[in-house]
Amino acid sequence: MSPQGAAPRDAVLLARVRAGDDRALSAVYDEHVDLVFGLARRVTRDEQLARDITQEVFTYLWELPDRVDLNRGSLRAYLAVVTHRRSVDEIRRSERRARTEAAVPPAELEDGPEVGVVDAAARDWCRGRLAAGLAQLPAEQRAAVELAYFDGLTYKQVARALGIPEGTAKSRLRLAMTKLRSLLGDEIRTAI
Amino acid sequence: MLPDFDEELAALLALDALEPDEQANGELQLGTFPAGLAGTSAALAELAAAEPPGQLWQATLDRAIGRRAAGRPVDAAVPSEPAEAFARTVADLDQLLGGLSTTEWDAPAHPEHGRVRDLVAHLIGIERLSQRWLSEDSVPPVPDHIAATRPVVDELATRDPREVAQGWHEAATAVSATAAGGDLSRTVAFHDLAVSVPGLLVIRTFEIWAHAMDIALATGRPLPRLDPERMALLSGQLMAVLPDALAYRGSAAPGRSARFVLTGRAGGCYTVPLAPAGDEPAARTDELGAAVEAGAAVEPDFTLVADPVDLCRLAARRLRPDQLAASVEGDRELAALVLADLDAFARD
Repeated sequence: MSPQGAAPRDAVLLARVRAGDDRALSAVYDEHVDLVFGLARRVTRDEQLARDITQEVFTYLWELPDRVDLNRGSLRAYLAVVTHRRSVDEIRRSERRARTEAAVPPAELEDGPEVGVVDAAARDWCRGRLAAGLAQLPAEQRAAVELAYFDGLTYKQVARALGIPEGTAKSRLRLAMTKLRSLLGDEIRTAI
Repeated sequence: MLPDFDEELAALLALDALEPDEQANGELQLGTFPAGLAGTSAALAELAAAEPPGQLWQATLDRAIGRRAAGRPVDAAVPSEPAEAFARTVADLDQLLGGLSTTEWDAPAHPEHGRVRDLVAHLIGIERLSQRWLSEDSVPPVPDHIAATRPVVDELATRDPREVAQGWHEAATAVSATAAGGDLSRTVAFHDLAVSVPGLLVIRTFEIWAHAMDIALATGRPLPRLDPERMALLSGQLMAVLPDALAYRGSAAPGRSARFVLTGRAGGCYTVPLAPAGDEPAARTDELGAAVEAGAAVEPDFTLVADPVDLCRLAARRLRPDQLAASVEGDRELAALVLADLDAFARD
């Protein structure tokens, strides 16, 4: 898939899902399950919970496809947002926090994705750029983003985990996201 | 550029890093999907991508289908009954005709039928024939749809347009009454075809809608649109008769099938064999003998995604295949052949 190639395909797949085409759901699943499952597992750190969230995310799309607005982003981006929110909701609701807030090793990110399965070339390219973008962030901003996004911490929890004031945590997260957006550029964001 | 405060809120929202009691207020201000930064956070998700367990798809599909059945659209329209669809389409055209000026009645509307008034006179002829088909057992075949009504068109050529309109409405209303009065399951003639009474009403609904489009175009009015309920009936019936339509044109393809994904409330998913039931090697047919299945397991030769309105306009010869906005996956050559014969039963 080329970076600009997702939009028309997303629109057709979404129209098919709206029409009740389970084969289209299968195609969406095949294309994006790596991201949905991987993200859910990464945030929850629970294989079974990740399976459940994966099922729920695709079922949600099947039930309410009109919630997707392709003018605001790709289907993959939408699924990422829904998956992340559900994953965060799960860990917050169940207080499944065996890990301590202060000791989450961010180094794993430098090694890139665990196992990529779909559109390997395009996604590998994206992931390479992403890893490079993260690496360019100042260490304190990078740590804040990783705690918030991959560990599902709120900004207050990030502040506690890093031993900094809440205002500083918010500021670091804002600066990090602004910088990441700039570093990633339009090209990579449209590829996702 | 947003103020720092909004940028901060957008960043926290995109990262799902707001406190639970702040989330609702944040979404109220910036929406649940803050466009720019949500794309950035979604990009971060790529770094977590991982291969899922192999059996997860089936469990996902089972859960999804358990919540919403396959084959039917979200908020699917319930197809109209053929008699109701016919009556409502007659009422729509009657309303359109009632608003025409004297000049508009003389506007050229159809390459073969001529002016608007001639077209409506032609419809009177067809309503009279329909009356005979519905009420007589042995009406001689009338293969030429246009020649069959020429005497009526000539007879009414100089009549007051309001009289023509009224005459058509009375004739069409009489067809509705006759259709409702007899055994609906009986087989009746329609030109050179043998059809059921509901089948005749559906074909006639197609024709009246098609001519309403002709008149609208001729008089500079917007194209008439059928409601989703009528469109669901027409598109569903179109799918049901497709194997017979292909056989009628001599282009049936036994053993091959197509999947039509029709979008919108009037749509749905249909896996259709490309030959009538008798020509099919395996039993994949429903009670209509047309093998229309939702979510069929058979791998189709092609999948076509289109708007049912456009597909019905194609079947009514009001759209050419090359004008159809459709997405086709699979055997495109076969899809083109099928689309070319979709209008086999159109009579206008």
